Amino acid sequence: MRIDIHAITKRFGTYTALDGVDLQIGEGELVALLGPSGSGKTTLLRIIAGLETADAGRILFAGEDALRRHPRDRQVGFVFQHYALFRHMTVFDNVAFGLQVRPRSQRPPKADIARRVHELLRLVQLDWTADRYPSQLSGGQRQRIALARALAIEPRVLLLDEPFGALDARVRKDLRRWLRDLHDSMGITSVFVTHDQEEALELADRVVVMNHGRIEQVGTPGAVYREPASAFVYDFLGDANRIECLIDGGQARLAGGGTPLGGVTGHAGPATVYVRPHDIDLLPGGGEGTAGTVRRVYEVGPLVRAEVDWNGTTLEVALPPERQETPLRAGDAVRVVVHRGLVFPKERPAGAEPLHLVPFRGGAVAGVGRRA
Amino acid sequence: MAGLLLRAGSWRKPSVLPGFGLALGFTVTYLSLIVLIPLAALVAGAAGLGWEGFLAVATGPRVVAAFKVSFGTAFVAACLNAVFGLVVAWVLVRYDFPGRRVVDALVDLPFALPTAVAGIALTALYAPNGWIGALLEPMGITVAFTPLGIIVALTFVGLPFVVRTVEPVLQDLEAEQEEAAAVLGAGRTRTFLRVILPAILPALLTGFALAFARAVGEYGSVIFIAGNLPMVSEIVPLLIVIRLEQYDYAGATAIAALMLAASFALLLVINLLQSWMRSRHGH
Repeated sequence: MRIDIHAITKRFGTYTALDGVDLQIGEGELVALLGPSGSGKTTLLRIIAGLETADAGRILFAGEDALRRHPRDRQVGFVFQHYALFRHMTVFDNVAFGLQVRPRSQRPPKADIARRVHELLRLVQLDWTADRYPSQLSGGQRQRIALARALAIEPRVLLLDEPFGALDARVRKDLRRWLRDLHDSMGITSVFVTHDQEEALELADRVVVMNHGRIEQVGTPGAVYREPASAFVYDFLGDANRIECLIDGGQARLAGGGTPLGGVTGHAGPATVYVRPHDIDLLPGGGEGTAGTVRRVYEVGPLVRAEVDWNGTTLEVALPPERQETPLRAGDAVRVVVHRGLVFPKERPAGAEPLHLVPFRGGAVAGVGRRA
Repeated sequence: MAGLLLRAGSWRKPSVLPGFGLALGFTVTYLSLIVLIPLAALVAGAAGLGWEGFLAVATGPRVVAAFKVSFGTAFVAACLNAVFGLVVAWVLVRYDFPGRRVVDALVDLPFALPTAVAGIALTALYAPNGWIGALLEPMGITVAFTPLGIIVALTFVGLPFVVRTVEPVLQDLEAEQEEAAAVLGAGRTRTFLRVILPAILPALLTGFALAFARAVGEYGSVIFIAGNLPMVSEIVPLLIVIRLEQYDYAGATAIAALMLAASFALLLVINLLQSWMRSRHGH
């Protein structure tokens, strides 16, 4: 089902949780609302479900005004971060609840309810837990039961509020993949809230990045990662080095001077250059002004990470092991080469797109700006 | 004895918490002094009467009537408290309104007030010439000096028990559970009956049991408002006092022992009911 969100505004006292949010969610899409805490993502989700009321704006479910309907008539499935399972009911009764509370005229016969519940429990691979109580299950199992309970009412929309937030990393990863498969096989329009960029990028068809009650950017995971519309999005979607620069004569230099780190066209003046750790290369030997000093080296899985002090700016660098001819050691002098970066001028018109850093030398082919 | 100690050693699990022996010893001694020895003396005293003598006292019509009044009114009062105590707890937990703290403090008043004061105040109110009594009189309802009056007094005395036991459980009950029920399509009544009530039922039952136990043992407030007519509005504790005043110590102890047995049995039943309910929740 299609969801159209128009100019939704919500205030809690003087605090504005949502400031005129517009968003279209297509039929069968899996959308992630991504943002830090306090960005309004959960409030938006709760307004869609009807658990919170909007101060202004409209929400249409397949073209029909949803805000006028009581949550119980909206046919949404809602999955809570802390499961919110009914503690005194068995797993079976939890899943059956939505069917059992229907008005008598719409309530399926007992046998049908039982069949449907077992079907759903098989779907979440927990049929053997039917007679247990939620307290006897693990966190991941509880969340899957919560999902089965939400699906029992045949929802038109599935809303998930930080569904994996309370689970440990391993279970989270498994459940993520499993949810994606489930969505692909059922095709219910789904919206989930998360503050974990990896989760959003991996799971969603489209990512909605929110900050301070506004939408910063909407796009496919690839697009928001590669072409972030704002410094906030760049920063939020992954590790980022923030390098204060001065742009002069088409070249970006560290604020403290030294050899330029790349070329920039179309701007002069102070700017912040954002660079991902894996877009920096360290070459042996120093000299000139681009020399940096390795402060610390540590291996994280397949990558070698290094902290480099570069004329007073600390850079985080991630290198694949095969790129290092000689292993890095703390105290080494290195040449810093930036392959790719985004330039956000200090003074620029609102909504202006960021500029690309054009690298100079040493493997510069890797990433010439794509937006240009 | 040695076997007992050996077994005692086996259920004592290793623990880093110190002082288990000392704490248990103190607890047992203290409970013995304060509770067990007096109660044993009571039973021993009643036993002095002999089985037949005891039965004669226990089945005396005035004693039976007093027991009916005592437990009947206590039960009704505890039921009333369960219902209205739940409402008060609900209001205190769920809503924020001006004067909430005052209401909160008022709930504890029956704890603090000497019960005789409560009895006098209630009697003054409900007597045929009192503020409320005068209003009820034309309707043919007499409260003071009838079992109805006893119920009023016992309800007053037992109110805080239900409120104070249900309140923390209601506070712990996440709003999310109710939201989940609403999204799943349940109306207010169904949500209350199927989601909220089962969750707070153990606490409600505890509150009920406490209010009931308190009401059975209540003396001060009742004797003012009850009128104390034998066979009609005479409660067991009063009967015991009357027997004592007549120097019938054996009779008084016999009634007291009976009272003890009845109260103990009731509390046992309620406790069993609670643990059964808890086991159902898989705790």
